[in-house]
Amino acid sequence: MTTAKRLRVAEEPNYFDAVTEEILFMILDRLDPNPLDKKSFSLVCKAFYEAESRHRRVLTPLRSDLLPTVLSRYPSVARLDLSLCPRVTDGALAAVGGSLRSALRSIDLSRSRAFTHAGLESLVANSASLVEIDLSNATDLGDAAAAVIGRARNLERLSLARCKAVTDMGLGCIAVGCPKLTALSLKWCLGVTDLGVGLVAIKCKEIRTLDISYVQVTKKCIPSILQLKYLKNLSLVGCHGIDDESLATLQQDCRSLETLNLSHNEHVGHVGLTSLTKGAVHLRELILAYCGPVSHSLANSLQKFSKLQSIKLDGCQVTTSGLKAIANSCAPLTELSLSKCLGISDEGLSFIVGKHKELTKLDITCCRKITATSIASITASCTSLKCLKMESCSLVSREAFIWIGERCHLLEELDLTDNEIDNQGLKAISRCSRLSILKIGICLNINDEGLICIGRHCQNIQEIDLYRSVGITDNGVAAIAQGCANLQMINLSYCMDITDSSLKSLSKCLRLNTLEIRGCPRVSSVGLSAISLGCKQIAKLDVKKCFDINDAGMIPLARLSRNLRQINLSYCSVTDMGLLALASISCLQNMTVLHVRGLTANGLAATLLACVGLTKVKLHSSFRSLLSQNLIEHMEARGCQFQWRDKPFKVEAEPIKIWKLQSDVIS
Amino acid sequence: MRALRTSMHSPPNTIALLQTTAHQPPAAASSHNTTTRGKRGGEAPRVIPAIRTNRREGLARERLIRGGGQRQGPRAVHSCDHFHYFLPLSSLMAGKFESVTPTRHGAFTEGQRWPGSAPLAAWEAQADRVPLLLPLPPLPPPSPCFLAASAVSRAPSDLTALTSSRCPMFPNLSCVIALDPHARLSTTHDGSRHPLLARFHPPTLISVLTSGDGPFGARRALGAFWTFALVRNSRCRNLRAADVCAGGSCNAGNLTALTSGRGGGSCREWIINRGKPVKPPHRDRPRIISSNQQFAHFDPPNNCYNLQNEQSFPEFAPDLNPGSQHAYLTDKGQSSSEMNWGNHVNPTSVNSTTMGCDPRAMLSNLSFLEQKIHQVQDIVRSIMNQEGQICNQPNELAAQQQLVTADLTSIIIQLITTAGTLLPSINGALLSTNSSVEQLGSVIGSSTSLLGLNVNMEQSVVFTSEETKTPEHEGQIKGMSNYGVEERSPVEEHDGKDLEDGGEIENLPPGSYEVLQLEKEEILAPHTHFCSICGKGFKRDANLRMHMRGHGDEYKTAAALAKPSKDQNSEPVLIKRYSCPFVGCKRNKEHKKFQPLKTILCVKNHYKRSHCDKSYICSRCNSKKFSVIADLKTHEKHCGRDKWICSCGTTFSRKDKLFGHVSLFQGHTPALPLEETKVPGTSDQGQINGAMTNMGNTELSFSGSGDDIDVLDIKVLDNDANFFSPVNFDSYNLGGLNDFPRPAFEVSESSFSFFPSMSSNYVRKSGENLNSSVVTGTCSARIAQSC
Repeated sequence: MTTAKRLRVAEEPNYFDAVTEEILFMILDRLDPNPLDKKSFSLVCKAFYEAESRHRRVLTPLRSDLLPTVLSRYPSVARLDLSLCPRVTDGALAAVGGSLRSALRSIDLSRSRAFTHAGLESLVANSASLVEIDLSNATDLGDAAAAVIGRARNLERLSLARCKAVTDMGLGCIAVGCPKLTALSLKWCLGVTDLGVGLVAIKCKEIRTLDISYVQVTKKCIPSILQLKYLKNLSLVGCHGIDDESLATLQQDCRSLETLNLSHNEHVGHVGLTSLTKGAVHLRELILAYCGPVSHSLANSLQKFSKLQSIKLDGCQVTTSGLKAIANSCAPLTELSLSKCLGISDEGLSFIVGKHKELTKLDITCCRKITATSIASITASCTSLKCLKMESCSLVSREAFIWIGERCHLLEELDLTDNEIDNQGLKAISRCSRLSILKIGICLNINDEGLICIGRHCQNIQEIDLYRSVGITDNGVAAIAQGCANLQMINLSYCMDITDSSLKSLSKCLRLNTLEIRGCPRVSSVGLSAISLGCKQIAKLDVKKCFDINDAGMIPLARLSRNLRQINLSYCSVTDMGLLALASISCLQNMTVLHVRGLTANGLAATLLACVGLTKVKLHSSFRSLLSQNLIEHMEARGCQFQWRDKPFKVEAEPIKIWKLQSDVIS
Repeated sequence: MRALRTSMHSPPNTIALLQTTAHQPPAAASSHNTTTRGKRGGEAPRVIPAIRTNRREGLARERLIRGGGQRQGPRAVHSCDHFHYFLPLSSLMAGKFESVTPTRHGAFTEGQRWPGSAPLAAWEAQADRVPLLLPLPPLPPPSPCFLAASAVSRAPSDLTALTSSRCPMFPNLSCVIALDPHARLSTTHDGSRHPLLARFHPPTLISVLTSGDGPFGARRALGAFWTFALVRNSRCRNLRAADVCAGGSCNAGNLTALTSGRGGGSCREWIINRGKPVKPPHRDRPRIISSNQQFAHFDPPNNCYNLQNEQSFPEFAPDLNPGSQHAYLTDKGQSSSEMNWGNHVNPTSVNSTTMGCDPRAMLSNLSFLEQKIHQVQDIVRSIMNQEGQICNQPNELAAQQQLVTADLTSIIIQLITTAGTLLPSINGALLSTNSSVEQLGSVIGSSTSLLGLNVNMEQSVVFTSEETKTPEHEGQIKGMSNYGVEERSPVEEHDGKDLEDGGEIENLPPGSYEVLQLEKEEILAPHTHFCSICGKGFKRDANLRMHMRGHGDEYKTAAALAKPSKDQNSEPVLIKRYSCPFVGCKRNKEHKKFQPLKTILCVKNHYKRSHCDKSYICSRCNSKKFSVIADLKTHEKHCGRDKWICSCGTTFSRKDKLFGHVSLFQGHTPALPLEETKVPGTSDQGQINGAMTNMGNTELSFSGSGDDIDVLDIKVLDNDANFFSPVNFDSYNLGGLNDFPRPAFEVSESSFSFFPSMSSNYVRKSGENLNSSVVTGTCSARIAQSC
């Protein structure tokens, strides 16, 4: 039998053998980023399988326990992203080093735990050409691991964010051992002081990007940092050891600096800024979010930066005069962020947009004092605007949004959440044909009429947010689904009138990966099944408070949506069976199951055990006692975190008016 | 010479303006004050000491004197709003002046209010190039205290002229200020002692102010200076640390301040790297009494302060004490590189034995300051007034602003100086026996020039010096500059290590001192002073004197108890230097490059360190050996604290020192303690439960990051290479100590109480027995040690 089969195979010539590997590689280069496509490709024949194995450069495994076999299949992987593996043991790291050897250039361990410096050592020893290591969040790793990293001579990019146990000694090893470092992040490295940072600045002369946010540094290390010849991006967020007084005496100047982030430094004003940016003629971006009030002197100190393009003053106190001073002293800006600034008025905003007509990105989120006057001047002068974020500018009247649509045709991203926009406004905005991200949540004055216009004209929309825009019904959603073939994310939460037909129309959007239909009581398992059938790439699903969704919806979901990573099933009518079916989705990482009536402790335990990739599970705290302690410990050792919630059961949806009133009071 | 003497003996009210009577000029026609600038010869000068010059020199002079001027007959020194003392010192010293006639100064034209009897002194010489600006000291000193080589002096012979051996002119010269990048201090290129300084004996305070990018010629000569009070090498890129510290007796010990503004900076680094408090040099030299006060004293009791002609200043500080001298100089040199010298001359004749500081001087200083402030206020007011009138020339305004700046600088400097004069009064006990204490005032060089030759406005130098010329008293040197002050407080400690062998290299010419050589037995004898009555030995002379009191009343007199000082009236005694009896030693007088030892104490320490057994062993580390007890004590202060280790094996007691070391040397890395690198890599277990316990293990083992391991533990376990491993630690937990909990990890966990970030994690873990475990760990360590 088998011999006959073999003979038959031998008889039939494999036409694909004629295709050379180069051609296969070119095909692979052009394949869709969808992982399933490559999978299908490799299943064609052996030659295709091998070509795909050799072609793959980036690998993002979901589980680390299969790493040895996976790595033997993909020998030329240059970048290994282990961020989806919560648990990476030393053995796995040793396997990575052993099989990939010098092919490996980049590894991401930012979300992995359970490995020690011993695993890193074998990795570093085997992979000599390692260029990038991301060790963020490795809070257990200390100086020994840092010393191991210091043996990677070719390392260029290293992130040690939140490696709180690393001290100056470990950092010193890295500084001496990795002379080619160009990017280093020491964010939240609380064990590091001036000495370590100073040594890095002395030893690693190639550094271009340095992030020492929230590190306990003082002024002492700043001079050596500023002497770095190639330093372009410097991040000093929340460095409370630095203030104006200490910076005032700085002698050094850093001419190469392009981006400076001084956010959350309340004590750094114009004096410190001036001395830090002495000689920085190429400065392009300045981020001063949540700093002290923007004063005249600060604005004047911006005068010397002829190439400044972007200023972010989020959360600062900005007066009208300060804004005017900035407008007068700055070179033409392309990006301005004033979100959550206190004191922004129509006058100041109109002045600055009048001066800087080349703005492409403007963020005036939560500037609650501005009215249609500001929008009029923005739209009149900044016609090349690509991104406008004006969430919660509640005093802006309806006609202002018409101006936006009429004058800013180049808009690609528009955030109008919680505004007074109506259908006329939406119709005008539909002229912006390049729009890809549109957020019109909590816009109570819009309904299907406007949304149909958007769906007809804005065909590039990828993300649309209709959260609590209660006027929307199936017709509007259908128009969007029909018009926007590239739709990837849609939020229909609390749009009460949505039914299964909306989901059916959305199932035509093949690229949809995020669907939020929280609080849509008229949606049932039928609609969810349609989504499962159509949208194979769905990764995030929120069906909380869709009471009619039950096991009938779960089973096709589990069978067809193999990319699902995150699901919220609270208040659904799912039982043990549906949940157990979900556990077969190997990608599933994040699960929220609160107030699911049909769920028992045994079913939950079985699901948890079966679902290997889980990293975060949100459960009602009543299950804490029902589940066995061993199971919980086991899950935690596997890298899964439990979040126990004790929220009261609340079925009835809040009336939108009351909710709106509450949010107004809060704001 | 004669001329100077003449003036010196002139009564107080005679006029100090020196003039060559032999060439009494007709009224020289040169009036070049600010108002009449541009109107040449608009006004007949009323002065002038004038001197015959040859034509070439006259032309050269003409460029120097502002506005040129018509040459009518002999050259005249104009002295309008700027006071130039074109002092051809070589001529002066060579005795070219046959006589000097003092004249009154009268060169002030209308519009200037010059204090009526302001004294000025001016010379001009026949065949010199006007190399020097010599600000005459405001008070009659025994001799000039400082010289300034200004921008105009480009001739290489400038300062060498001063040092011409023909003229023992400035025995008390205590500083040379080279204001000019081109002033060449080093005419001796062989690195030997500068002839200028060879004159100044004993070592005097030399202040060197350099500026500009010029070929600072003093590079090697600096090393030959006796004493540096202050080296300021702003923008003097050629000056390097090596130059400052190289050669001669000028070591860092003398350097009290060193600033390097925009200069090469290496000097600053160098001095920072040394990181030690700078000590003044130890001088074992006989005091020289300056008896030759040939220099002129200029009497009229006024300060001249000089400014733009619109401005008038009240006179100030008319009664300055001879002990403190002040000279102010400002320069507005808009059109030429001239300097202004405000001059203050005291009528009283000099008293060479005046005391360093007294309240009157202090008071006068303060009143002077007050007046000075008033003057500045006046200027500022006038600037304010002028702001209303647009017609003012911007140049003048700028000049006034510069003036204000200069004045403020001088006020600051004066304040510091005044404060500095208090120092000797604190140490008055020592000073009281010294007859010749001179306090040198402050010097402010502050000038600007359009030609860019002068010192920059921002550069000003101040130094305070007292020169005591006693063998015992250290010259207290305090140098400051108006910014970037690096002050090294002088330490009066004679038996410091820096004085011992190799510490200091003198450039005494061979033969200028007497070489003594003690025998080995003498050196190693415990006592050096013996009672002549009972024979008891003492280490210190003072102890012997105290002892002698017991032998009778005749030893209790003040004279007997006083420190036996050298005979004050005798000729300067030959300096004593010591030789090491060990043949072949560099300190032995037979050696080719013999370098003598300064004191007996140096000899003792040198001999013990270099040629004796190191018999003192540190009881803590049992490895370090010393032959001098003091060295052992110094070591014991930090023994056992060297927990910061470099990969090269060097240990440091301080983390920043380790990092400094690592940053300095290529390839050296901070070395982690053994414990951390030897964490067992057990996390590689397939079992879930194993993994969980393992995670706990990992945390535990990482807890000992080695940062703050208890010192005692290291001490005890130091000899064992694997002392961090718990097993070995057990072996130290000697029998009978089993009651103590095993301290291996608990002790090291204490380190995390220092980490704010970790404390939340680990305090919870280790719980409240943390402290107790530390204590027990220490206890067991102690017991182990005692065993």
